Order: sequence, then C-alpha cells, then structure tokens
Amino acid sequence: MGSQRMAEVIDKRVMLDLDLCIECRSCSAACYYAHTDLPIVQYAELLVGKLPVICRQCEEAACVAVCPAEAMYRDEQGVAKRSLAMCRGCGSCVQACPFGVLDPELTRHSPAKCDLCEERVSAGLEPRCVAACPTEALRFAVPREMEQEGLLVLGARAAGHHPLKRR
Amino acid sequence: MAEGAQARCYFCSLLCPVEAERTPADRFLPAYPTREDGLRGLCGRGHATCELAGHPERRNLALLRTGGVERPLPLAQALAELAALLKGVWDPGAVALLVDGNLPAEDIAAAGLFAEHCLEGAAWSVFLPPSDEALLRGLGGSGEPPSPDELAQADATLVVGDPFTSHPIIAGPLLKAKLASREATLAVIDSIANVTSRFATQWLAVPPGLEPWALARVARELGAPRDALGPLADDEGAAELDALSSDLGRLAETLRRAERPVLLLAPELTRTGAPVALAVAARAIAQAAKAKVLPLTCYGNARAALALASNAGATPLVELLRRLQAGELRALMVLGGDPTASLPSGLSREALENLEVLVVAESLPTLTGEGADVILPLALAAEAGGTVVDCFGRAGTAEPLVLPPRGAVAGRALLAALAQELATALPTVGAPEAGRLELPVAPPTESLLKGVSAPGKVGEEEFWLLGTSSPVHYDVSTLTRFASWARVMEPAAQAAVSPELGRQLGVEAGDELRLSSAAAEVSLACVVREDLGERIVVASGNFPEVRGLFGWPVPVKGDRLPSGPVTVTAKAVSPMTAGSEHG
Repeated sequence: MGSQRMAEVIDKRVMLDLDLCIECRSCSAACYYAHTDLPIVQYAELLVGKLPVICRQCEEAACVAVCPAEAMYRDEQGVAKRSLAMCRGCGSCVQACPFGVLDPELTRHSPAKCDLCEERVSAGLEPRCVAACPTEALRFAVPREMEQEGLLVLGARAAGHHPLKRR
Repeated sequence: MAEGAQARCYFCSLLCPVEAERTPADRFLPAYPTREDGLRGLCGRGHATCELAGHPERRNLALLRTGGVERPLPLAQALAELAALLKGVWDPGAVALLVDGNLPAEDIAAAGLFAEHCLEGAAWSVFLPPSDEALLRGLGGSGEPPSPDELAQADATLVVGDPFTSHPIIAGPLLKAKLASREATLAVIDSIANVTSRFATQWLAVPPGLEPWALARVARELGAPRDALGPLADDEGAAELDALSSDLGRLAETLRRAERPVLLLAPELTRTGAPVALAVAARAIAQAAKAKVLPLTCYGNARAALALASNAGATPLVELLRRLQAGELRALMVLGGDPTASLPSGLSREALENLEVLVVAESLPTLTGEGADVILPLALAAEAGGTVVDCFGRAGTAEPLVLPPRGAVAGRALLAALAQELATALPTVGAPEAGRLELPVAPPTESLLKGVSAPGKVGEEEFWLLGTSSPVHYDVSTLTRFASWARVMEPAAQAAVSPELGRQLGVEAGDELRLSSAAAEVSLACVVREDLGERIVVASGNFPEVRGLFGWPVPVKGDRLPSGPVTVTAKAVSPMTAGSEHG
C-alpha cells in the first residue's frame, strides 16, 4: 500500500489545460500563502495574457542534477524539492530548468521550488494550486491518463490555434 | 446555502465558503471545503481573507485623538469617552450612522436599530458601491436568479462585463455550459476586450457607457414592450450602436432560439454605464426571452444590505452624502469598510473635517479613519459571522472564520456596548426574517431611469478613462489592498493605452502618464496594450488614487450616485517627452 502510494505520487503531475485557464492567478495565491510568501507559481506573459507555469517534477530533473550543494534533491516519494538550509543561492537550477519554472529572483537567498504540496498529497488531497483553480484548468493527474483523453502532454494543452482565443 | 453553515469570503457576491487551517508557524491558511453546488476553488482574494484575519496592522485597541495626540484605550473606556463626545453634539438631526453593506445582516440591522433607539431617530445609511446598489435596485422583483446548475446548463449565456476577472469562481459553470455542446453560445458585451471575451463565441465591443442601450436594442429585437424600457426605447444618444445593429440582431436571435438562456451582469463601477439602466434592459430581455438574470456585485452581502436598508427605511446614501457635504452633520459614525477610499469625492477629507465628531469602527487602518476623532476596533465580517445572501439569492448563516483578535468586536456587539454607555438599550438583534432579506420591487421604469442618459461623445482633446478590476484587487472599500499577495501581484496602479495612442501622446511602456479629470489629477506608469481602442485609457480602478479620477460632483447632485467611464485629458510626463501634451 505504501509503495503503491509512493508510485502514485510520482506518477501524478500538475497539468495545465490552457483552454480552461482564465488567468485568475488563484493558483499563485494558493501557492504563495502556503509557502511562506515565496512566489512559486510563475507566469508566462503571452501577449496580453498571463498563463501559469508550474514545476513539471521531471523524471530526470535538471535542477537536481546541476545543483552543486545538493540543495535540490529528490525525496523518498520521488518529489524534487529544495532544501532551504543547503541552498547557497547560486542560481544554477534556475538556469538549468528547461521550462523556466524557477524564478530567477531569489527570495531570502533561495529560489522558490514547488514541493507538490507534499503534506496535502500524502493525505490524499490535491496540491493547493489545483484545489484553488475554479475551472479545473489545473489538474493533478497521471500524464498517461491525460494522453488517453487525447491531450498532448507538454505541461499544457491547447486545442485552439490562437493561444488567447480559447475554443 | 446548500453546503450548510460555513465561513464565507466576503470579497464578492459569490460568498465562497472558506476554512482556515492553523499552521505550525502560527499562520492561517485557507482550506478548500467541498462544495455541493458545482462551484469549486477559491480565488486570490478569497485566500487573502485568512491573511487579513491575522494581519499585523489589525486594530485591536481603540484610539482617541484629541489636540493632535493619539491615545490608545481599552474599548470600554473609549466607548465611555465617545458617549460623552456624542452627548456634547446632541442633535438627532445632525448625527448620522453609515454602516458598510459588506457586513453580516445582523450588524446592518443593529445599525438601523441603534440609530432609531439610541440616537433618537438619527439618519442611517448603508454604504454600497454605487454600481451594486443601482444594479440590485433595478432588478428588484424580477424573479429568481439562476442557480449554479442552471448556469452550467445554459445553452445561451449573455454576459455584460468581465466576470472571469471580477468573479473568477463563476467561470467554472460558464465554461461547462459553453463546452457542453457546439451550439452553446457565450456572448460578451464590454467596451474593451477582456478575459471573458477571449472565451466568447461573440464579443460586442460596445462604445464606453452604452452597454444598457445595447441591451435595450436586443430587448426591442426580442419584442419587449416600450414601456418596459422607458427612455431606453428611444435610444437617444446611442447612435454609435448603429454599427453593431446586425450583431445585436444576431444576439437577439440567439437568445430567442435558446431553450435555457441566461443573462449575467457584472458591471464595473468605473467602466459600465448606468447600472440601473443595465438592470432595466436586462429585465426586459429576461421577460421577452424567458431568461434568468444573475447580478454579480462587488460586495459579498450586497443583496442583504440593500434589502435591509430598503425595508427598514434607511436614508439613501446619496442623501446622507449631500448632507455631509453641505455641512449639515455634526457627528458621523462609520461602521466598517472604507468609504472614503471607494468614493473619494463623496466622503472627501474636507467634508469629514467639517464634522465635530467622526467615529470610525475599522478592522485595519482606513483612509476614512485617518482623520477620525475616535477609532474603534471592529471584527472583520468573516470573523463576525451572521446572515448573508449570495448572488444566487441563497440566504444562509456564515460561521465565523476565526475569532477576531482580542479587543476587536463585531459591529452588533460594539453598538450594544455603546448603547449602554448612552444609557439606552439596543434591542436584541437576531437573524433577520426571510421577508426582510427580499430585494424591494423596483420602482416604475420611468422613475427608476429619471435622469439617466447616454454618456455622449468624448471631446476632441479627451479620452475615455475606463477602470478595471482584477482578480487581485477589488473595490477599495473591501481592504484587499492590505493583502501581501495583492501587493506583490499588483503593487501599483497603471494606465494602459493602445500603441497608436501611445505614439500620439509620446509615451512608451514604463513612461509616466498624467491623467486629469474634472475631479482629480494623477500620474501613473504607462503600459501599452495592443487590444485597446484609440480614444481609450484603461487604469486599475481599485486603487484610491485612480478612484479619485472618477470622483463625483461636489455637492452631490441628483438622486443617485453616478458611475461608469469618465473623460480625461492625458499628458506624457517623462524626461524624453516633456512638453508632449494632448488635452
């Protein structure tokens, strides 16, 4: 049971359905308050829109590989996290992340890092950003399940041709 | 409400349930209670509810200001001194009480009883943002709003405004409805492209302030009788809508064919023209198309507040402001909110300084309280608990989110304690009866729309100033500006112009733009937006300095407070473009 729960946690990711995102930034507020005011949910500015960009919890996380202080690590549940105590603020992880989800602005010497709201996920709840989302644009799901729905999994999904004109 | 008694967020009329979890670091974090009405999530402002409860600037002591000296006092002592002050200016005709409409119904009812029994019949008014009051007055008696389920099953939804921004939680059922079938339509009427319009099947870019007249044309296409529209039927001053005739006709046809049409009104105080006229036109459409109308207001408890004010004979807000500005009041008690921030000209510092005694009960330091003689510590609405009515017309009990800080008390308790000091007795206030929470039936259309006219054209040297809300800040009277997240996300007001207007004015992104209206002048950082019209400037309407641009005439004229866009002149203020001026 325990190992099944661990596997389940590793498999699920926070996915963005672009067609449902209304840019309300509720996800940002949820993350901000839960993580001692660190802005973890980043936003990509696309023309007049702001779209959330959230840690992909990569299987081979570049931020973990590049960290010289082992401050970025993967815990026993497979969640890539940052240790505040070990972090020296070198910013290597910020540069290494291929998705740009780590804010280059350091807060109290350290970049903010998504921890998948571990205390909630361990209790069977969704991460806060997902729970706060009013339209279910953010979903906490296994990528292959999303693929079975016919969604292209790149951390985001867009069915329309124009990024700001939703279908 | 369907979920049973829970704590509520008061930052909009959806009154979303919210719970507070205490963390090991001794902070309150919002939890996400399960909802049974199909709505989900909690917007950024809802998250701020928990922060405000534990905010370091919370008032938990009374303050007495005399001769420029500020003395903190325990509440009981402050109330005793306040009673003495009030007796010194005793004249029921010159004392008034202004209670914030975003408090629980029990606090509002207590204010009315206090004015009647303890202030010998002094005037009392309920503060509501003018657009909230106008919208709800216009819709009174128009039937039940749709439920969240009915919203999610609508096959044609007509929206005025940008509810995805102003009321994000409503987006869930609206998108469900739109995605349910290819035939489902979502039409948006607004003067600027907004977030909701990006999801729309049809967006009508109506000239600023003409939204009610656009709806009136749709109503006429649907066969609404002329007397249902009053002066809106004559269309005077709305010739600019001629270019949209076929679009409006198409919209009417969509509503006519729909089996489950819904109208959703989300007017912005600083952008949408004549909310009372909007309500009248929406009612006419609803009758003709057999649709339901959902009004979305800024204030969470606006419906209950207006119902109580109307049914208990409160003085209209516009009348109280007129008396204040005319110097007819010697003492004013303000219970909750921050009306000066919301209506800077209506409750200007100058008008308040004319008072001999200004008492402000506040939860956080407000602009209204800056010059007050007595400050009383007030519990937040979410801490007080009580009866609320949401935009769906569902009345229920809001439980206290958390206990208020020691020293702060709910409005009803404050008034009861003051009543004792005045050697009077405040009748016990219980949950209001259902009948008292019903919106009053709207007056006849002709009297409701008396004095309403189309905004007219903008002058050659002028531009329309449209205020916008955001999912971060909402009406300044709700104090969202104290939330740290809001300060991070939107630290300052900005003015947005189109690239063409930017070139005309000689400004680029980051430059400073000075806007001057009849009421005020302010300089704002400029941003450039591709999607704006040439004669439009858009600014964040929920910062006090921008709100000042939308000031009302002094003295207050007419029998309703105006709202909607205003005209401004604009001037670049930057080293590179000094001397470049239009207007």
